[in-house]
Amino acid sequence: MKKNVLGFYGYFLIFLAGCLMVPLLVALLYGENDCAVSFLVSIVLCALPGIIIYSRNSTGFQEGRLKARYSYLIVTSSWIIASVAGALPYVISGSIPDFAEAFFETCSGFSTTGSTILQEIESLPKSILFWRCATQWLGGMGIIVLFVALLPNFGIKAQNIAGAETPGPISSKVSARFSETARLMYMAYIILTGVLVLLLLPGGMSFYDAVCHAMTAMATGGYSTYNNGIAHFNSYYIYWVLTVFMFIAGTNFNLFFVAIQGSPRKALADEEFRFYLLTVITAVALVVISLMTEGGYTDFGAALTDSAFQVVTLMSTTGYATANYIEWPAFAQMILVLLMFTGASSSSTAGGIKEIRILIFLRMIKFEVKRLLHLNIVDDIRYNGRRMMPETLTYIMTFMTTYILTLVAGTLLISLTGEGNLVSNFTAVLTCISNVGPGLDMVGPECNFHFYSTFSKYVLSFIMLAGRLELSTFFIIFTRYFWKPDRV
Amino acid sequence: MKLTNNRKFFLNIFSAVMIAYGIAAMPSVFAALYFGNDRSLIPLAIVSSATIICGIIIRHLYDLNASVVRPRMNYMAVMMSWLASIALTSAVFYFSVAEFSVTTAIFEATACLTTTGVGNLGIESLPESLMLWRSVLSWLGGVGIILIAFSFISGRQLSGRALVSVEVPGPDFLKSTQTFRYTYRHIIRLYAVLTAVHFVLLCIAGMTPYTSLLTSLSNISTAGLQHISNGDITALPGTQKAIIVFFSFISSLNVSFLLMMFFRRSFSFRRTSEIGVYTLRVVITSVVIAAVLCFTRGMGAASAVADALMQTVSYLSTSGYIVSGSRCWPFICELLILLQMFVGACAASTAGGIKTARIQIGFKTMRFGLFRHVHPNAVRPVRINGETVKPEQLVGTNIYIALFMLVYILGALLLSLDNKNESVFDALNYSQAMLTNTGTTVADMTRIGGYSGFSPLSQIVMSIEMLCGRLEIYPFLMLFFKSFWRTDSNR
Repeated sequence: MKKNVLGFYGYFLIFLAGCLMVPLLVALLYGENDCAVSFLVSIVLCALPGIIIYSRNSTGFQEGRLKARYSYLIVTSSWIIASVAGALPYVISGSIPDFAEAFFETCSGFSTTGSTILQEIESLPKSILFWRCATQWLGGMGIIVLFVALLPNFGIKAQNIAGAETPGPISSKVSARFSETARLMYMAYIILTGVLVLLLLPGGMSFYDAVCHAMTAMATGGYSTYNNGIAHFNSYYIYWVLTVFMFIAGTNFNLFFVAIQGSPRKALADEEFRFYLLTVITAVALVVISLMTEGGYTDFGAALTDSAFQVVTLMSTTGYATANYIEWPAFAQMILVLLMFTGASSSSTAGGIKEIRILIFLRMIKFEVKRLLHLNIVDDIRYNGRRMMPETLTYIMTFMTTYILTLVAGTLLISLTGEGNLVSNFTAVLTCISNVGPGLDMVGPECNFHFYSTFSKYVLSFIMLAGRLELSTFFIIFTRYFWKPDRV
Repeated sequence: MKLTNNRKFFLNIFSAVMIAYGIAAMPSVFAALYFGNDRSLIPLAIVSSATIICGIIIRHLYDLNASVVRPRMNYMAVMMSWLASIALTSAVFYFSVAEFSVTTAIFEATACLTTTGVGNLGIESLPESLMLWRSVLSWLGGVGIILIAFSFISGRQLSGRALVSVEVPGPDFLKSTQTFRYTYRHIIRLYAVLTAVHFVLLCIAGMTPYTSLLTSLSNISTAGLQHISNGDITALPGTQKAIIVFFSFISSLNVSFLLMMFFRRSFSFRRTSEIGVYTLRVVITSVVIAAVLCFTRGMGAASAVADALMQTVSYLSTSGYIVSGSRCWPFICELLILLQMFVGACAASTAGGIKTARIQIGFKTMRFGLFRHVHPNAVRPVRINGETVKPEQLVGTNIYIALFMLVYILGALLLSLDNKNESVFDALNYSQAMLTNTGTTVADMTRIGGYSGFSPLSQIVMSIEMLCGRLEIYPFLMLFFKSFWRTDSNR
């Protein structure tokens, strides 16, 4: 048991070292020798312990030996390990000398949040910025899923692990073996990223910028290589291309396979997708109206572009900056805050509560009213024509309650040290738990998280990870049930 | 005319409510005569006499004996009685006060009845009779119109438990073994006694009888003391403040607990965990705030504790009066209170909010969820007060918590359309103050006539939120369901 887990960690560290090779190549390409050295040191720091741990524990793996609950431990601790390892290049190269800040930045990267503590982005070396964007791309689809897709079994059921990492209450498979599913998902992810790179090039982006932004857009991360984000390019073409791709990144990836396997209609009829589309259209319409009437916009095209971009970027939990929405009317801001709660679809790269949960929650309210009116009603809640199990409903409500309580607890914790104000702290936690990026007021799209204390930065970092791992996967390892399973 | 069972039931409740309402308006009529408030005398007198007469006529004309009705009729009777009371009250306000528009009057009426206790105008602008009317209404709304109306329903016509549970907020996990009729009479008696004691104590502490009466009426219903310089009681002597705070705390406790304390003299603390948790919340919040005040503001320990405790009770009991200069508190203190305002006080009290019992269940559900991840096949019920919470109750409670937040955010969304709210923060604050029936936002705690200047849309939204907060959302939601209006529909 212990061997399996340790062996997994060893291999995972080697895998991380492999990931760090890519920015090393970028550093060599751009002739940034200092950075190349720091990446090299980081690779050694990951690979050496990895090889030692792996070689000591490499024998005796057996399929299914590990209990299901260990997958929670493996996933949560791997994400923390990845965040620590990913922070090494920042600290060693001196780009972000403070470890707490580097850790925050990496957590924000892997969890695809996109909140930053950097006040000055453009002055950083290109390879460091590339690594920043790459962390988001890796975290978007799930580091462990990638790991599982590529690597042999560790005596751990791949689906348990992926179930703990993949967002959404219902995980589905598109092929018989899970590793095959993971491979297909990654294939789609890579192809879409590639297409986005090609589409961004004609808009006037350099190849480097196109790759960086394609990675963060498809992962719904939101890191940019410029201080003022996407607004730097000032091109409607780029805004709209990104809007479309962020929307795609927020849809359920399984639907692509449903569509490819010959039933595009079935994909379009998916209730979550329809609800997602409906929410986006309604939100864009309301924001446009608000901007045209109160926000001082006179050009309809500009209002539509800005609102569509901001609605999609916040709802898909990407969090790119084009317009400074904290100057928008309060109504438009409220809509954007609402979207930060909902997030996009399940099994996508987005964070937040997820549309499927909201949809089922609304149905549950309706059901609850019916139950009050007809005491002995026999009815069930359906989703995509299938009856929802009471179990699933309980899990969905547990998630919602946990989400609200975490939000409250997080706001209290980061307010302890006295920085910020109510709105900033509340939206900072909201944006972290939903993996969005920017919040309101002092953490708005043109601001950053630099002013928070070290303690608050750690709290926010863990909230980001908890949000990415859908709360229970993360919190479970801190309960006594986990460590003393025989005690009830 | 032959009436169906459902209609009989409905008219029975409705007419009783009307009579209760009319009788409650009588003292204000006399007050108007006594103080010479000519303008408010006529509307008050008309409403009072008309409701009593209509109620009596209905009860004489028809035989209203109905036993078995559908559950929806309970909601129908409660919702319609409340809406009618609000409509009548707003009519009185509209015709008595020159400055009031229709929506302002509705807002004002809803604020009184739902124990939110805010006003559009400063105290100087309202005549004495209307001030009394407001306090009486909040007492009526706090204890429950339907509950009081039961005094006018004779005989063993119906089992009122299901009906009253629609109006009394919160999941009540304290089952009393008494019969319902016995219980509700005791509840009314209990609140009457509390109000009387409160009144006497305030008089002894040196308040004028008229102000004491208003204070005790609106304080027992956790309405917030709008008649004393708009809820800012900083200037009152210490003893009076202490009495007020003590009674807001008492009235925010679960009424079943109070009943057991006062009438049965025996109860086990094991079965009243909600009271314990609530008291603990008050104590911890006050201690933390006092500590912060001591360290950051250099206040003396005694005065810091007193200030913190009083202000905490004021907000946690969703009364919302200002006891100390909390507007210049550090924002962590504001945040502590703001977050707890959502929770409010105990179930089955006159206070608003999500209620402590629900949050307890929320935490238990969270633990249960984590436990289920480790032991997917374990059979282990969630318990509260030693009793098992049924699965549908568990899910229902969590739905309510999320629904409460949903209404809060949707309310804020609509309020943000108003030009008076400059930021998202304002909109969120007002939405919270309305939905939890506190009335006062944490952010700016002192205002004179703070709710004037809202647009008609905002006033309607706020009224709906207050009503949702008081009746626990579902009765209002039902208005939009077909099956609420038609028996044979299941949609």
